[in-house]
Amino acid sequence: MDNQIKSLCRRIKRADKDAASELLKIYYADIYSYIRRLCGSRHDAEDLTQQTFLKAWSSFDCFAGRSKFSTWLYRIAHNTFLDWLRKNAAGTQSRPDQWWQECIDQNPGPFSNVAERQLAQRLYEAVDLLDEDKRQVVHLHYYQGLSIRETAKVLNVATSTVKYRLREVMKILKDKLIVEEKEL
Amino acid sequence: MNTQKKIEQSLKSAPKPAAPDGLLNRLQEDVAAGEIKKRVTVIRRWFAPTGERISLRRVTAAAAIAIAVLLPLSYGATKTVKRIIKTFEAKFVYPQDDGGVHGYGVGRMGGVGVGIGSSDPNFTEEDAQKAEQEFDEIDELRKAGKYERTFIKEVEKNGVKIRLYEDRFTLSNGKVITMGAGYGRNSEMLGLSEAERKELLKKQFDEIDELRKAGKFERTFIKEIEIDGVMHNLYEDSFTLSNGKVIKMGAGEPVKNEDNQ
Repeated sequence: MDNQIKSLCRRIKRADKDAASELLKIYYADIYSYIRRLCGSRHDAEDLTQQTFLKAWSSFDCFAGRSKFSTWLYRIAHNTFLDWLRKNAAGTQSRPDQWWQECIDQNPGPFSNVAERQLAQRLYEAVDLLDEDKRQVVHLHYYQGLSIRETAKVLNVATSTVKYRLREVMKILKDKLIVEEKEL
Repeated sequence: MNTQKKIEQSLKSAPKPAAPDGLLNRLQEDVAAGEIKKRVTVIRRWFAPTGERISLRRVTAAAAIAIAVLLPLSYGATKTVKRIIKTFEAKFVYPQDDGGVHGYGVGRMGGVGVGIGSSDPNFTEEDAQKAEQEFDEIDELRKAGKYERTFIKEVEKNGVKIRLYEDRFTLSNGKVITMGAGYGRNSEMLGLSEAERKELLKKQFDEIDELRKAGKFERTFIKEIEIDGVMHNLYEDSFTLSNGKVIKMGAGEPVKNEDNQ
């Protein structure tokens, strides 16, 4: 897979549009899901995904291949989202989570029972309330499946910072779950 | 299963929003209609607007870049080399391999080099000009003392105590810009007049120059960075002066390999 990506990147450097199209097919769904979870609106997520790829193509000459292409792309997506967030800070206070409900309705797996599904939803809501730095590490590391090193590269921070934020997140989520379980 | 593992498993197996129908087509249309930038070598970038002729301005600017790269390093601020550059008129794009910071260097003669960065890979020269105007206004506000200063902390770098501040500037368009500022003074400079301080610095630099020429310094490789499409090796050179003081300075030179041809 890595060799295939490298080969596609080399072809794109020669302005090969077929290679760009191939690379697009590999990554567009991941980038969309990352942004969709963060921004809470399908239309905004589509626009931001489009902006991410437009930026990637227009600055492809900046990609020297020292990092993985996916990391570079996530970094552009991350920056694109942050720019959008700065401009639309007021509009993101209350995020509609239709996709979550639709997703659960259409495909109840991987949750084997209602309790697991409810836990996932409660966590999703709790993650959404975290401050942006912590929210990003959860989205990239857990939801998108990036390694700690890749997450650090995307966020342009040290891996120790990512580990620290993940520990903090875990404390917050654990406390929240304990409180909620007591209330129930 | 303990709570942490339960949380981690639940987060990892959370549902993934599916990409809507038609998005791939829309993105592929962009690829078909758009243009993918080819990699341009630094030599071509320098020659491009002058029709393969070297202009004096560009050569002078190149020399200025070298100074700009070395100056921040000489103060131990290796990270600022990515952002700070000093030129006369030319502007330089500073793309980063990880897709992050794109910057334009806007220089001022006899002043402090200004680095304008953006996380947006589509950051244009027009954006840089707007940012430059904001910097001009900030300069004016700074000169007039019209800003709020907050002390952050004191750090010690190479034996010099530096006080770090955060300055808040409110621009005419209502935008609030926060910038860091640092002031430090070497203890041996305390109590000296401006002329005496300059003299002392000159002596140190002259001695460093001699040591450099004689090859009497230790060079440590720091890392590779890309400057305007060219890979550079960054080093830290350590000079031991006759008074026992150790001065560390940054140095950089293009990597000699075929990628940079």
